[in-house]
Amino acid sequence: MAGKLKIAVVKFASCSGCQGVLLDAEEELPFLVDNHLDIQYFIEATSRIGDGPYDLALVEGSISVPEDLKRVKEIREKSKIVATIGACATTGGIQALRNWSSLNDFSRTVYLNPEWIASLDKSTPISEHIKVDYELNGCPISKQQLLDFIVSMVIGKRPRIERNSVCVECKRLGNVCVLVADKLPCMGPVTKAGCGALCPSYGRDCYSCFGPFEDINVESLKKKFKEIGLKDYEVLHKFREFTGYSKQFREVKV
Amino acid sequence: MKSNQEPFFIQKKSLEIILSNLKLKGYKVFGPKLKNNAIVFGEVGSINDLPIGYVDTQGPGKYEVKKSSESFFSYVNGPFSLKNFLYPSEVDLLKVEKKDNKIRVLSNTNVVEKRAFVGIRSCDLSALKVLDKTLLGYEYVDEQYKLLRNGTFILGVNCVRAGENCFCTSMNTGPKLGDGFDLALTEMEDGFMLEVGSAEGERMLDGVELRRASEDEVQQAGELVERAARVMAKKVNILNLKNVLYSQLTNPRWDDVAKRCLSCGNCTMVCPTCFCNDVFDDNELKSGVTTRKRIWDSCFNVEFAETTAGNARPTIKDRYRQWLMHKMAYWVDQFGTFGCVGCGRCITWCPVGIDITEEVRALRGE
Amino acid sequence: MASGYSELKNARIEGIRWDTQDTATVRVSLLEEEGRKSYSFKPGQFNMLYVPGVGEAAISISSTPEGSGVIEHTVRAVGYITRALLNLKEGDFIGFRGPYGNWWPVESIARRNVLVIGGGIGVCPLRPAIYYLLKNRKKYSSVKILYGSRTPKDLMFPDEYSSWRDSGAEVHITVDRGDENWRENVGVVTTLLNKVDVKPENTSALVCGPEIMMKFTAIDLVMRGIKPEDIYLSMERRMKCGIGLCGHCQFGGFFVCRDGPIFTYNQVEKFLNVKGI
Repeated sequence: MAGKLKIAVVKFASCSGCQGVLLDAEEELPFLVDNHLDIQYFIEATSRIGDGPYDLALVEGSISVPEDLKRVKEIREKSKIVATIGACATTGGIQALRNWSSLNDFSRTVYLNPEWIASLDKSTPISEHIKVDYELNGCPISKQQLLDFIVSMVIGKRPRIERNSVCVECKRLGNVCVLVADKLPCMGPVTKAGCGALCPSYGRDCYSCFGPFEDINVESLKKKFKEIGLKDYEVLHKFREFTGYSKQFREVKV
Repeated sequence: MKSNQEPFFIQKKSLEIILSNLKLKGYKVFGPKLKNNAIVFGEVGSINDLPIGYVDTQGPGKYEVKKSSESFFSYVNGPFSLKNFLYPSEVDLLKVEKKDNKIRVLSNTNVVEKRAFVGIRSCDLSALKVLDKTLLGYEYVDEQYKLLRNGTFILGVNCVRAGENCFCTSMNTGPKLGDGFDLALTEMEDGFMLEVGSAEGERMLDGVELRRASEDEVQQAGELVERAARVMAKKVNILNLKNVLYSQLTNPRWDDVAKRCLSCGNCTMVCPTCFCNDVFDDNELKSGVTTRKRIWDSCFNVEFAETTAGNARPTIKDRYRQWLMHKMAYWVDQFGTFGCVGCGRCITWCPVGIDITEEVRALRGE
Repeated sequence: MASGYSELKNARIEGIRWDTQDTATVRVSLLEEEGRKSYSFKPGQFNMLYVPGVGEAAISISSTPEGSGVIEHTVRAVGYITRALLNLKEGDFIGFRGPYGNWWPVESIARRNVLVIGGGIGVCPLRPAIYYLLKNRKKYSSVKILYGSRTPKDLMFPDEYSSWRDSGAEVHITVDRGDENWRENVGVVTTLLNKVDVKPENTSALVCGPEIMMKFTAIDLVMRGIKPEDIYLSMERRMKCGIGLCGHCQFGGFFVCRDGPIFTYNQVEKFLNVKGI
């Protein structure tokens, strides 16, 4: 551990909730900052503007406006490690729902002067623009996973970002399957672990805020959802939420 | 030690005395409990905590439980098994500290309480024997399992009802309990037939109103269990099964099941014998102490067989084949027993209802 | 019965020697004298090396089994653990347990013709066997070493080939792609089999390299009349515990760590021939 890790927390189109998770680590953060982290750039936390280079950039938000196309490339050039944090940065976020409709129509409906709006047609994940080294999923991200990730980067070890389903961590916790026992349309079987099976632990169905894991079987789960009574459009909506524009979900049709 | 005495007959409410004896002797008592619309295992204080009268209906990917009888044990198994307690999903293996640049292994201070499990079925007692062979049977043993398993008290129950997904008769693991229990009950209309399997079991009978079961009662209890065996609908043909499956590694059925399999890993989580695990370092920067943790892993995890040379099982088909082959064939070579005890949990809790007995039948060409 | 994970002993890094651009040999010795004295291994076995706080990896032993107290492990810096290991300095300590796994049958193949066939860094677990065979050269009818790597720069232990020859081995080297200075064979390692006199009877082959290389080497050897049970392959799977308890290194009906890593071709042929086992 030679010196402190120079980090930047950078925001693109997002609600800032994932940066908030880092700020929320109020018990751990002071120790980390005193001993291991040199926060160079984190607008929500400090007025210091460190121009880089950074050892680690935590990137929140999706690419949604033209000027960000350039800014995201600059971040990449300045940073040794780029980690995207949250559903917006990793999959395009809730604002990617516009990707299936016309931006023009929305602008005209919402704004008095739609011509003042300079927005890209689509909201896209960071990884479609630059090389991303790590992805932390979730809306918002998990504090525990974020802290584990930062500690791993400090130590230089493999961060524990599980690539299996939510079901695995759900059953580790001793939960009863809400899809089988309660016939709730749970997205757990196609969703990446990391949240600590938050929703099923409270008897709710997962809505995939972490997005898909690599090798999912959409067709089989769709069939199950129909079997427990979902209509076609309801099935589609299950795959078009916070992570709907992830590579695997965006192609889903019913 | 099989039942070492003639069986007794006890009143159903006498179970309360056995439970309180267990607690008096220092056991923490676990048994079936209703939680979130399913019967799981949890701590039980008295027989009132047991889901008396509840009956489950199971099917591939289906589970329902309703109150519809007066019996203590009409339900069969739920998603939990002894694995949840004796091979928990997450345990600390050891703690490591760096001092003067050297490594110091800090002694493991896990204190284990005596635990008693009530309502254990034959499939799960058989699963315990599979885990014993797997985790304690070779040169290197799983120390945590050994610690937790030691001194476990088993109050077993002979199944008088077959679940819709049960196939223990095929795997020769039930429905009648084999050896390994401390006490065993067979539920009859107006009481339990009670068998004593160990001296420790006998010690828990203080104050219980006992009488020898009559010949008729013994015969009747036997018939109840035999009837459960007889009506068990699901079957697996284990004749030469290992060799048959070894010859079917390229059967197109694997492609077919891969279209249905979600690769979610639920089957491995609820399986009472699936033991695959991952070990990772949990670092505490402040103290410099690292805890090496063992956590349940699943062969359905995409990175399970990944090395720097590539992924040995990159597709869902590869991973499902690994799981079924492990349960029904590889395990035999590795540990001298099937890895499957016919409990049917993987069928019930597979969200899309993949039925291992159907898959084996198709692979056998039956 | 033995305990596993907590057998961790302190091992001192005695030095790290870079063999190629991305591969280095880590030399370690056990700290406690007692452990140092009682430690011995057979050619082909592996140890679990633990970089504190980072993790543990199974690494085969690449040095001579004649105990000098210093044990060598040759690793390629490709993962977090191997990179962390190679970042350590002389005098640092790591956790160490082992040796684990079975070994090359160097004793039982006495009086036979021995073919040692390595691909890439697969030659590392063969190196202790080479040392053993050449030290006891008179016990064997012949020792032929066939070794190939991608490019001349990737060849492991190039300084040692002449001493292997001097000790009575026939040594043939090949690369997939040569450079301007390369004068020896170009082609995959099986092309070397045409250069040596392979006697079908009384020959045993010890093979280690990428799985695909081992598979085609074994097929080639069988076509030349060598019995599948005389062909030994050192398999690689993800070994996390090294002691048959984690399930990760399963290869068909085997645990590579417990039942291997060395298998005869007839043991594993049915699994090697199916994709995704």
